[in-house]
Amino acid sequence: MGTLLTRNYKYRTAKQFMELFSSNSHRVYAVIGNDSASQTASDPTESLSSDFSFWDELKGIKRITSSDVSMVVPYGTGTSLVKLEDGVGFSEYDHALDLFGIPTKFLGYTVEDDRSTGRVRIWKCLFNNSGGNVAEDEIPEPADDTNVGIVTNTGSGEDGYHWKYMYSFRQNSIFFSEDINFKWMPVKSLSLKPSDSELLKQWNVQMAAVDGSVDSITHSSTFSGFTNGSAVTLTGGNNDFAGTIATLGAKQYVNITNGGTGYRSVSAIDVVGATSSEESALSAKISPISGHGFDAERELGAKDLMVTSQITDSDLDADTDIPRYATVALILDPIVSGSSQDDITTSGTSISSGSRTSGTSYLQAGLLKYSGQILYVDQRATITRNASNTDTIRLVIQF
Amino acid sequence: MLHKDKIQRKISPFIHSQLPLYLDLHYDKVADGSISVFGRFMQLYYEWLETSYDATIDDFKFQSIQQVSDMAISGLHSENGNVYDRLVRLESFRDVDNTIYKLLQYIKSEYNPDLPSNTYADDRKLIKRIKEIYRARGTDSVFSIFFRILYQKIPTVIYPHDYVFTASDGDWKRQKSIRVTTSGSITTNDHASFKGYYIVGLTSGAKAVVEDVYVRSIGTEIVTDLYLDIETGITGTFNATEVVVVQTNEGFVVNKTGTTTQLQATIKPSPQGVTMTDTGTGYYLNDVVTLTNVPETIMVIKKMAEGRIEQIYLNTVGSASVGDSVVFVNDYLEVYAVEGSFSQDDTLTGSVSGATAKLRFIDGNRYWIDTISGTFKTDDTEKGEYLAEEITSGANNLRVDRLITICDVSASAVFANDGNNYIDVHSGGVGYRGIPKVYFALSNGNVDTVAGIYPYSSDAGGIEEVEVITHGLIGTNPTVAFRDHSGIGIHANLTASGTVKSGAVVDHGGSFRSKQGNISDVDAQVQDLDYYQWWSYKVRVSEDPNNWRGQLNRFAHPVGMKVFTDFTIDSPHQTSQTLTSAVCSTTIPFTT
Repeated sequence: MGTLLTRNYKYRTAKQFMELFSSNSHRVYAVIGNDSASQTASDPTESLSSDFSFWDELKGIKRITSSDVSMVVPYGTGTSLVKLEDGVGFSEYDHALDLFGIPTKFLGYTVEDDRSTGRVRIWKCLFNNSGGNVAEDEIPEPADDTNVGIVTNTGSGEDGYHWKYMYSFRQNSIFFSEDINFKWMPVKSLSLKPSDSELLKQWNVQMAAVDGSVDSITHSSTFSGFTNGSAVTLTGGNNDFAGTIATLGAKQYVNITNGGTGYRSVSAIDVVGATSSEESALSAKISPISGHGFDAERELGAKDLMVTSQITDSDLDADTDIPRYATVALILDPIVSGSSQDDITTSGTSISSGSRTSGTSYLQAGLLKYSGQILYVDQRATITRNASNTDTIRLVIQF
Repeated sequence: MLHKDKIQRKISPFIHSQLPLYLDLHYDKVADGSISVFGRFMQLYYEWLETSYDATIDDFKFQSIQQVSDMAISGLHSENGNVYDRLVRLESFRDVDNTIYKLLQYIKSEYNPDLPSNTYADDRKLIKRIKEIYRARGTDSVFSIFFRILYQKIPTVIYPHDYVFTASDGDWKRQKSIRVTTSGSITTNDHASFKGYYIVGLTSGAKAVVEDVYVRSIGTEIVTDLYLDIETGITGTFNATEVVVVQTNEGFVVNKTGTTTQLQATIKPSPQGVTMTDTGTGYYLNDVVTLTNVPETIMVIKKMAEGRIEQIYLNTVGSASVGDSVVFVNDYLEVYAVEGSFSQDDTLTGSVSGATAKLRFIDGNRYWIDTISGTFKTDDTEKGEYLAEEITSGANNLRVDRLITICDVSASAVFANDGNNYIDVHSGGVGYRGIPKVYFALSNGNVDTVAGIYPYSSDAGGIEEVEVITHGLIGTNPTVAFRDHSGIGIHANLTASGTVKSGAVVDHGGSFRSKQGNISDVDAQVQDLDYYQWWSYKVRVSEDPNNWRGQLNRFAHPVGMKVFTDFTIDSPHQTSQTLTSAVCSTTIPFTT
């Protein structure tokens, strides 16, 4: 019998782990340790004794908070989530595709010119004008906080693409990694209305999402041969979809005036004046549950978590405290020095817990040795610290 | 003549014809009798001089695999040869495209001394582009090239001056649009052609330049937002439902491409706010505004009428005695992310600030508090979304958007009896922008929940202005309703009423494109003449700065700037295999 750990399981596991960082009852710290001058990278082993040796080598820790953690998705590899550029073709959104399976190219991103403060915007391709390519002048931009609909490049001479804006983030986000073998970008679904004007655009997209709508009708080959202006109706859902055949150059598309509601499947597509053979080439794409753009994290297939920690000289002094290190790790709930390990006293009726750390950073002397739980260890070649350098740890945990 | 052609010129084929004839006639010949032995010796000698040796792996032992990875075998030059071959090729050794690798290093050291020999770039191409690269020194592109050449990595360059506070440096941008739909034979697809031209109201004569065009759906309608150029200005007032036509600056008609039909569209009216018929009393900021037939529109109460507390209606005495003071609760928290169940008289404690307060009343997301000690960290005080501290009471917790105080000076009142029980209002307070909560305190300080007392004002908490947060469309018979908060007896707060205002121009408000002029912005930093200054930058890349800092300074760093480094230690870690096997081992017993 086949079994499946669903994408929801992976997503939920990642979110659950993420909550560790915002919890009041738990605290996670980034660790740097092992100040050997000429350590080489090696594979860590796991045992009780390795826990002891890890602690003996620990030099300092810095707290990781919820703002240091983000859901991330890979991009730019293969055919998944690539940049919208002149001449690039995108596939169309298809509800039958598995986001965690074969990478698809119905997601793309645009980058503002200003690399320092500009934003990266994520778009979903709903219609590609029967296999057309993106034209340079037609790369979409969200207008303002009212731009919640679908950008349709259907004016005269335009590339015919239909784009759904999803969300954006700053290019200099610590979670945006452009290294060739380490390409990740952050993704976040909003749960509360923001005040930031850029985030407000995403909020409005989420607010305007329609559950069970049909926002694109695609053609299995070149969309043409229908009578311009013919009404298109769908059987299924609440039967409230409305659209008409429109023409752009030599190709056609469905100009959707009402995406409808409640569609979970479409049993028939009817075009006035078309034959059943012509209609069978059309396919109605059903929006994700709650609608396009409602939950960017799940619509992008996010299941990985990036944990970051930026360690500067003001956190842990590079000249005197920790001039070098070769071990990077994560530790959960260490105990401060002077307190004691968790214990049950002879008269106790529950576990008496030691006092957990709550500050931003600690040297080893400020901690009770061998306390806490080690979550992750990375043994690298020795890194020499510099007072003007920031050491940024970026760990992607792939669930 | 090309180097390749020169190299192919040989002397050896001409040796026989150049030798004196007597050598063939009087001396021994080779076995086939074609040439004398001496002549053959001379031929072989010249062939040896002309010999070049095919390139071998050993010739490229100092090159990285990446440098030669895209090199075709057929394009390889011989790296070694004998005297004549070398002499013929001598000129080609000066050419970066044709020289041998041993000499390429010398050319490289002359033109490009600042990079190590072993890089990921094709040396020949890099040398030819080095001038352009040096001229672009200090730019993002050169930083990117530098790290791609050396490490095949792309850096992130951060300029701290983007965050340095500079007085009056905000880039304020205001946006207004007109929302239109189709008119005549002009469809939504044609609206993109409006960009850059004037639109002129056929009825009103109002005109404005269209700066940008966006198509969107609102409810069941497809409409186009025509963003107007604010700098050129809007002349006149567009009517809410009129037709606009497109003209040039000189007033010439603009037609649909390939036709004689003038571009035009019909304005769809948009909600502009509310005309208050009755301002009511007892409302609060951000109170509920219910709209009907106004799709995708959100309005909130923006401005309240001020007043004083005129009377306090006594419904139930409870445990109060004559002379007891009425406690006024004039502060409330707008809360979100509430976990658990809070109760009256709970003590609220800020998890970071340590501030405390007593919770007296819960009214939706308004948590009324008094006995406040310290300052809670709210989104408002921390200047950002989700930055509020967690406020706890036992296992329950919540976060706060902002703390609102509804008066300037609190009212005061006592329980009195002149034959009948009543509340004697000593002072109505000053500047009440809503109706406060009031209670009698029990001996332990808690709220006497049995007592029922209700303050009244004929003006405090009236609605003066309603703000449109999200602009949708005006439908058929649009209506607006406000919270019905009827009170007790004759002193009930009055329910407000009004009508929805419609208009043509949607005012999207303004926003700062740059926040460097906002000293209160969370990103704004005061210059420290070190990191936060105009002449510094930070390079973030996953390579140890100790390895590249010196080379960066020589190759890409612009003089006069200070460089900071950010070493990102990147490591992806797979957990899926472990999780999968763990689940299988636990599920198998249940499934077999």
